[in-house]
Amino acid sequence: MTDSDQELVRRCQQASGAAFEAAYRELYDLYSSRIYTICLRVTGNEEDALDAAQETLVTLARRIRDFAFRSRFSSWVFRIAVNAAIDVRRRRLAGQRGSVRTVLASGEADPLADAAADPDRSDPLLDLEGRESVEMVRRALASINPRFSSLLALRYMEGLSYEEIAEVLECSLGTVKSRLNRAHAALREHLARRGEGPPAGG
Amino acid sequence: MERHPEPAALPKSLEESLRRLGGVQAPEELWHRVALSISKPAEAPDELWRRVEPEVRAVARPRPILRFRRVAAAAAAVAVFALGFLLAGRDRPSPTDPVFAYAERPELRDRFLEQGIAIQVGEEQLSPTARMLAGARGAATEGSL
Repeated sequence: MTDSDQELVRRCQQASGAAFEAAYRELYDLYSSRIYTICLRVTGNEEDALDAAQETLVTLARRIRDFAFRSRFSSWVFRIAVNAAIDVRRRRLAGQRGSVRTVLASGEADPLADAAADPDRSDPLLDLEGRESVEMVRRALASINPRFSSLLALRYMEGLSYEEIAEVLECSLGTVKSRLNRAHAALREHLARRGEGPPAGG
Repeated sequence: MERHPEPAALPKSLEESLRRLGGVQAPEELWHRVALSISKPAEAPDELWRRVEPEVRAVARPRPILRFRRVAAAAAAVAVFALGFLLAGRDRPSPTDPVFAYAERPELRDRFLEQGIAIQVGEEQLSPTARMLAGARGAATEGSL
């Protein structure tokens, strides 16, 4: 946690009324998109991601005074987000049993499509093949075990180290590595089974 | 120190695809939802309690419950015992007796009732023994508590 984050968290803890709302809005601006991204990749659709992100941010506001700086603030935030997203996805799946609806058929805005439509963006990776493969991976994340999806989101989208992930998930470094191994395997197997990617070997 | 084997690496293309799924902008709607959830409802000013408190105290004071049926029963009992007084003649106790002073002086009765010192009860609410004692003393069924 940077010093400015720490100062902001303390302001939230000490303020009340309008001062709290102002400080919390700053914190929201820092974390909302990161929280939303994790929730979106775990739940697989915008509606559930909004629900999970809302739950996370409301919990954050209500419990911020309990945060005791024993870990990084971001770890605490991501832990709440991961748990909320997994809960929402499980609730959704439980409510959907017997239904043909699939979380994969979402109308999620595609950041890559938006970027490709921007003529000023000239990222060579934004070719058709790249977009298709990203879409396949997005679908795969929404299908595999949500614990694996969240792990992959923390590692590759948030860029957290193994140690940081261990702090988020409150587990050992060995557990993180072992779970990440299983998450890699689950993702590759899912893509291979659907003929959408390399088999487990490569 | 125990060393843990590194997880098997993903193909570069797959890693790249995962990274490109990050950095999604949270929609505006999220803030509206959160702000709505965390904003507190307007708090009533202290002045409100100061205004309400006297009324609350007045309501909380113990009061006799004078419902129509009870009043009717009490009135009937008073009529019966009034007749008893007339028939009792000399046995009638002194009107200075506080119980009978209360029964005979409506302003005193009302004050006792209002202050919760006495309540009016219907005849049927008295036990047979209490009824008998009240009758034997020539008293009204109204009694102090």
